[in-house]
This record gives sequence, structure tokens and C-alpha cells, in this order.
Amino acid sequence: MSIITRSPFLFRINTGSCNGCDVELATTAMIPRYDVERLGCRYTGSPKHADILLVTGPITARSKPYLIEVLDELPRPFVVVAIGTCPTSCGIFRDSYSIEGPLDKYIKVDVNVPGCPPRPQAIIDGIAKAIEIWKRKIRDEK
Amino acid sequence: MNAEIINFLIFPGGIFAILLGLILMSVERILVARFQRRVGPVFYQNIIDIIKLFNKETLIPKDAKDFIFKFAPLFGFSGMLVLVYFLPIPGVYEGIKGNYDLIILIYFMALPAISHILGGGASSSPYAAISVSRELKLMLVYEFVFIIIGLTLAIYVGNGSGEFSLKKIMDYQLQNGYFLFDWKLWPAFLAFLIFVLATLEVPPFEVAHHNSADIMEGYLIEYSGVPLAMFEITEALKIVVLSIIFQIFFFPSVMGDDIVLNLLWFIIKTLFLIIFIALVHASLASFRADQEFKFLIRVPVTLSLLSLILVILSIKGLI
Amino acid sequence: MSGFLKIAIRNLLKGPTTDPYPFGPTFVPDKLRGKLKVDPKACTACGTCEEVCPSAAIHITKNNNLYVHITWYNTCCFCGNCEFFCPTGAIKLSNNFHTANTEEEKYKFVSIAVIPEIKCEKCNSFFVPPSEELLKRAYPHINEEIERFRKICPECRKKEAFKRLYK
Repeated sequence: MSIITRSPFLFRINTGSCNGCDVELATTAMIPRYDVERLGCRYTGSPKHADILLVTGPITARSKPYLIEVLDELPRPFVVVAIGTCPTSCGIFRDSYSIEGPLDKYIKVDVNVPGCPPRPQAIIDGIAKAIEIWKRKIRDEK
Repeated sequence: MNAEIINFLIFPGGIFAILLGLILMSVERILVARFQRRVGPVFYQNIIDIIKLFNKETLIPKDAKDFIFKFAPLFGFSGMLVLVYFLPIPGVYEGIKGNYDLIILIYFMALPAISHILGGGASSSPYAAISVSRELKLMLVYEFVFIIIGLTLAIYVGNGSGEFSLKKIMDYQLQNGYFLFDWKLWPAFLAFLIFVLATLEVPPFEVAHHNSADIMEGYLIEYSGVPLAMFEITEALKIVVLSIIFQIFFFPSVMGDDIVLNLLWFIIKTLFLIIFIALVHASLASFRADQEFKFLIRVPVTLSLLSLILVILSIKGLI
Repeated sequence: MSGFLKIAIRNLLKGPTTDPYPFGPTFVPDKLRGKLKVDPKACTACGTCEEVCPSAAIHITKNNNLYVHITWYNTCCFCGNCEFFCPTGAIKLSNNFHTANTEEEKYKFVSIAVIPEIKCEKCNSFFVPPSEELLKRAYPHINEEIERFRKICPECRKKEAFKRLYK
């Protein structure tokens, strides 16, 4: 039933980023210019309500245990989107002493949106691709 | 017997009320977006949300009390469903023509808040505990306001002795003029509007839940899947019930005898209430918990007590 | 509070101001730092961009008389260092911001440019010729002798210059 995928709930985690990508995520949701609610999305406050998980920041050593706890709490089926260059491949912080690696090591990522920071239109592109992958996951589970 | 089952399950209780409530919630979201110069969602967005929530799996935390956690949303849902069945809609539906409707109404309006408190208490999370304590504190005050408004109307209609039947309240207004235009009941009308905002947890009274900056959705934080869908459906039914109460208490005007025409007029009057709620939602920020308690115990309580005193004085013949 | 009521009613009458993307065209500024592109005719495989890139996204490898210039977009920071330091202006950042890609094409999201070596006319060994932009940057006027630099390898160039100066 493809009508289910018209209302994804978004949840964002910041694992130690510089807040550049988080500022861009705030503008895609709330300012009138790049409204994300006309695609049916809604920001929630709890990971147990989430369908699409948005991760920013390279995984710093201090935030790694909290990230692993939150990744256990997502109800299936869900999709993971890595926003920015940092969770995709650590960007300019590669091989640093406090970075615990790209997001690939902890969970299977579905969509990458590199950019420093990516434009809000590119983030909307990434969410649209994630919705297509979500449709395929729902069909495969039946 | 057959007509009553249809009345309970399909129209005007059950499916009709659930769908109408979900569409009204989406219309409120669209209006808030238009007041902020954005494009909102489609008008049937909340119906899609509920269908999607039925397809997710349910996760129960390890330390939660299993039985209460799973069955807490059923208190509010069943209470609101029964209320839609027995409240009369002016011109469309007769309701249960009992003699003590108003007292049952006052008891049942408190049930959704109780299901929030039970659900939040059974999930073993500190965020839910803070939200439950805030909700308990505020529930005391706004239920008090509702009780005083109900008793004021009962005394006014019964001319000294209490008249608790909703049908007689509506008939009194059809003969003597609607209470919306009666100057003695204007403070009660304002207090009722503040009560509607406080019980739907719309900003500026949004401190107990949904405040996804402060306490991460409060008592709903550990819910997912079908119980979460039950909470959303209870919210939708509550909007319909509040609109019916608003029309019974203050403005039960009918247009002739046709059911379809009266139904359309009922929906238009509900839309005015939704426009007011959306305007306040889009323009005000949220209170803190102690600011909200002080506001609720000063302003609506004095307004409704003022109306009560004016009504008592008018019965004694002094005004 | 009455101040916001006027704004709310005015907003309702004026209508939304939302960008119509992805259902319509959007505004893209000209100098936006997007994905980079290499012009293989102007590049001389000097390695400056590889040295200066802060996230090591550019790699130049040699493969049987071919220089291969690979950029992996998933770790590029779009900073513009390579465009600033390139001596010939072969690498430029376009204003293409569409960078969303799925996990299957994560390691294929690259840009490849191939710079071939040519044979010297005199001694038949392989070398990378200087491109036109490099010659324009080095010399103010280009005459025939300077044009010959594009055909003979550095060893033969030294011998010819010695013969020309000490004839």
C-alpha cells in the first residue's frame, strides 16, 4: 500500500557535529521557504515514533554509547539517512584521535547526502530517495 | 435495537466521528501553516498517519508495567466513544433523553487525562514522570472551571433548582434567546474558550506533552504502533466532543428540519472554533508549568465565578 | 499580542512563499560551490590539488602511461582549495548541488579524468606535455620555439636549448 509512505515521521540525532547541518535541517522544517510539511513529514521528539532517522556529525568517542542505545529503539521498518560529509566518511576529521569512524560500522545506512553543509533542496532530495527505499522495504516484508 | 447499533458504530458515533475528528485536526494544521506563510499538508493527512501507525511494530520497555502499559489508552478512547453516542447534536440527533446528562458529561470529560496519567506512569522513564506530575497539577484547575460553568447553566435554566438535562437546556435557549447573546454569561463564555485550549494542550498551554524541545513528548515517549494510534484517535474524538458541548451550551441554532442541512451548519460552526484555536496556536509561545498554574487559577476561575454570581443575583430578581 | 494578529491576517491574505522544489524549478546562485569538474586538456597532473585538499578526496595515480585523476564526492568538503591553487585553472567547481546518493552507488560516486602521456618526437620516450594554459601563465608571448615545448620531452628540450644558446 503506497499510501502509507505519504507520512514519514523524522527524528534527528546529532553525534558531535559542528551544527552546520543541524541549522540546515531546521530550515527545511520550519521556515516558510523550504517547507517539509507539504510532503507530509513531521518532526517528532521520540525515537520510538520515527520512520526516517537523520544523523549528523562524525561519531565522536563521547557520543558513541548514546548513539548505540538510540539505534536499538527504532521500530521496524525504518530508513537511515546520513546528512553531511561527516557521517558518510568522516570528512576532514578522518584518522583523528577521537572519531570512532563513519556510520557504516554501526548500522546499515540507506542514503548519503554529502555536502558541507548540503543545501536544503539536496536534503529534500535525499528524503525523497529514502521514501522510495522505504516503500521497497515494506513490500519486501509482506 | 438495530438503529441504536448504527448510531453507536457508524453515525454519529464511531466511524463518522473518528473521520471527522481526524480531518479537523489536519485542517487545524493547514491553518497554522497558512498563518505562518507556509503551505501545509493535505487535508486528509492525519488519516494517513493513523493507517501508517497500524503497520509499525510495538516495542515495550523492559521495566514497564506490562498490563497497564498496553491497556491505558483504552480508558480515554472508550469514554470519548460513549460521549459521542449519547450527546445530542442540535437538529441532527436526539441522544439519550435522560434527566441527568450534565453530571455524566462532567465525569466523562476527565477520562482522557486519566489515561494519559496511567500511560505515562506505567512507562518507566524520567521524562514521562515529569510530564505526569505537570499534567496532574494542571488537570485539577481546568476541570474545576468546567464544573463551575456546568453548574452555572444548570442553575440558570432551572430558575433556582438545578436542571441537569441537556435537552431542556437546548429548549430553553430556543425559546428565550441563545446564551451567546446574553450579557450575564459572557464571562462564562470566555472561561469556556480558555478551558478548550487547556484541555486540548494547544500552545500556550502545551507544557505537559508534545514539547519536543523540553521533555521529548512527555507521557508518549515509550509508545509506538497501535497504542500510539489509539491516543491520536482519542485526541480526534475529543475535538468533536468539545465542539458539540460548545454548541449545546451556547449556540444550538437549527435551520429547519432537514438533517443534511443541519449537519452542514454544525460543521460550519465547528470551523469557527477551529479557526480560533489555530490563530492562538500560531501566535503564542508556551507557558512554563508554574506560570500556567497561576494563570489558570486566576483568570478563568474568577470569570466563571463572576458569571455564577451574576446568574444568582438575576434569579433573586436584583438585576 | 494584538501586533501579531495583524500579521497573521495579513499572512493569510498574501499567500505562501514556499520554494516550489521538488515540484518546480528553484533558484540557484551562480557562484555556488558544488561538485567539481576537471578539464583533461588543461590539466598537467602536477599534484597540487592532491597536496592541498584537506580531506584527501583527490588521488592521482599512474597506470601504464596514463595519469588518472579521481575525486570521491562522498568525502569532498566543497571548500574550493583545489580551484584556488591549481596553476592552470583545469579544476573548477560547478554549481550543481544534487549530491544525494544511495548506499549501492556510494563508492561509484566519483569523477574521473584521464591525462595521457605523449611520445617525444626525438627520443620516443613518454612525457606529459605542458598545456596551453600553463604556457600562457608562464610566458607573455608564445612564439614557435615555445610551442615546440609541447612536442619534445624535458631531456631533449635541455639539449636543444644548450645548442641554441651556445651555437
